[in-house]
Amino acid sequence: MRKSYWGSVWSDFKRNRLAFAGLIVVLILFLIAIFAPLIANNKPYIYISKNKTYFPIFFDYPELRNIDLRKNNIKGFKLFPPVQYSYSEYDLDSIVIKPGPKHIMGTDEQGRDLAARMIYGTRVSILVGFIAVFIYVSIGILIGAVAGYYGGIVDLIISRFIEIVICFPTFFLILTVLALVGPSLVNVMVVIGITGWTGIARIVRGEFFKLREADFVTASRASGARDRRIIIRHILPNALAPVLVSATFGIASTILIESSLSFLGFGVQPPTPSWGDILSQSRDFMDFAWWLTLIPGFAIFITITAYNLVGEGLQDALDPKSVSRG
Amino acid sequence: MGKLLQVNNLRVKFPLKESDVLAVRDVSFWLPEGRTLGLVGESGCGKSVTAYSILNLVSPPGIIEAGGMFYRDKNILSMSEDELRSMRGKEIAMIFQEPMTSLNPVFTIGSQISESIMLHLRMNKKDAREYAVDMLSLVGIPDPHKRYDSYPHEFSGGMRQRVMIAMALSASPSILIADEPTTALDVTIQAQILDLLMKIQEEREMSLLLITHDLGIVANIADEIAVMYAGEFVEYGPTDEIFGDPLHPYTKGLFEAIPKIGENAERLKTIPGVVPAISADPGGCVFHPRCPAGSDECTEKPIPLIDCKDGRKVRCIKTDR
Repeated sequence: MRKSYWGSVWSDFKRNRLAFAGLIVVLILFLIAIFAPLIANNKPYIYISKNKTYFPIFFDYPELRNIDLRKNNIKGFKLFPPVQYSYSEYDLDSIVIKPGPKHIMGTDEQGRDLAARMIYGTRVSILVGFIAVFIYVSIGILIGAVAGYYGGIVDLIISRFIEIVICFPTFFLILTVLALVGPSLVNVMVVIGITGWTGIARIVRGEFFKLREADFVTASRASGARDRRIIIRHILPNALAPVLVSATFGIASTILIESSLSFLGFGVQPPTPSWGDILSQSRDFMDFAWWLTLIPGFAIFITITAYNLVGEGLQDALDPKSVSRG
Repeated sequence: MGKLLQVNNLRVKFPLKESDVLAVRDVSFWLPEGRTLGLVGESGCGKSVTAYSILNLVSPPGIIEAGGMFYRDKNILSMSEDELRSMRGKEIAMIFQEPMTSLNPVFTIGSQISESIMLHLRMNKKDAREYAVDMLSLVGIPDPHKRYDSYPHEFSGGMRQRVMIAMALSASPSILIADEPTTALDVTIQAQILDLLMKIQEEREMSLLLITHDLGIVANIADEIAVMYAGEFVEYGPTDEIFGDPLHPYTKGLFEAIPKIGENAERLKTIPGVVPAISADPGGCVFHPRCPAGSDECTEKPIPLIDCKDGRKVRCIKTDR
């Protein structure tokens, strides 16, 4: 059977049930993040009144702007999303309601629907996780590749620089920088991105060190390939496996960092909901409103676990010693 | 017969902390068009370093300290990086000892052959593919159209070496350097690969520099042989002559070490002693400590490569010619 390298990695990965379950959780979170406005919204997908058909989620209708279509006195066919609330909708008549048929995850102290806020919070987690990791993986690959490929004095300087950066306590560095530049979603991603690259840089440096002596690299050099081509085509693809594993674990820890930052008030700013922020605001009501801390805490736990399982599965699948390939 | 490649007094040094290592010292040879030179010697005697020097690819910290290398009268050592790149693969190509690791595991073998074709022959992707399939069938890969899209791990060692040969030949080089091309293969496959190399060499009138530790291989293929010991040529001449009448005690020792069928020997013959660490300049003949004919005379001064009457060269003062 014809299988590419990544094809055989995939078939090894699939065999690991826990990792596969983790991947499914990650995919579900992705779908929730992408389709958040279709899952939690105070407008219906479709509203057919006497003389006109509306799609209020998708288009803006001036005549509907100040009308709450959920009210029973508005007649016509209405099809609502599963959660009929928006994440920033205050309803002071229904504060701190237990999970029930009306609010499946209950409401918070300002009467906002927790389910809607959790669903939108997924977006922040995914966005921060992926963009911050993308930033630091890019920086790490670039720096590690240069150090590992050229070696010598270049490597010496870069390696010492990496060691200096590693010495900074990252979390406090991030806190300090955010205190200076001001907390916002973009700042959180950028700051995590530019402080987190050292691990990746070390991995890539090590791989390049090993691979630049590989026979196929020598062979390619002997057939007249340029440095750039050797790096991009022959070394980098072979160095990516451990980077991928590390990046997966990195997403998990980045989500945790973002939650911690939001918990401390340095993360995403209201009204944008983030799991850490929900947790932080509801800790005062912990003794009677259990759902307000339990649900976001559980969501963070599940997400981190899922990414870690995927990372471990990848690690096993990519390790040539643990599989029968070929 | 033009001198396609000429190497004069090549010296390659590896500067190390304790002392410098001279991996190749004072090596000179030339490769005529369409002929085969066999470079024979034990592990670590400087064969491969000599080969890498020809492509100016000695890996750091090694440096080519002295000597001249000329490809079609162009000095390889004074070429720019661009000129070197266009020579590598296109004029002088190389195949390696380890076919299992000489191919990039994440790309199809076809795309790796095409890469070299597109680089040197400036073909587009489609033509390169067709050309690569032709090359695969030339080196005896069955079903080349299908195998083009296979990955290296789907091939056996012998088949991978064929792929390496196809890749090396794709730009029609005039010299092929084969660095122990069959060492990692089993005996029957060895013969097939050697036959293939000989066939292609004949068809394309290519020059072959064959590096090996196996005397049996050079006997069949090489027109001339250079025997290397501790970074030096100790004997250099036409294959028939050397096999008929080896002059240097080291060469003689190598021949005696080949077990012969029918000979009723208790133990296999070996050359006593080990190859010296090539860092130390022995001050005389490098082989002298292991030499059965050695005497004090041999340690006095470095031994030059002595010309013999019939065009042979030998680095031994005890030779009677």
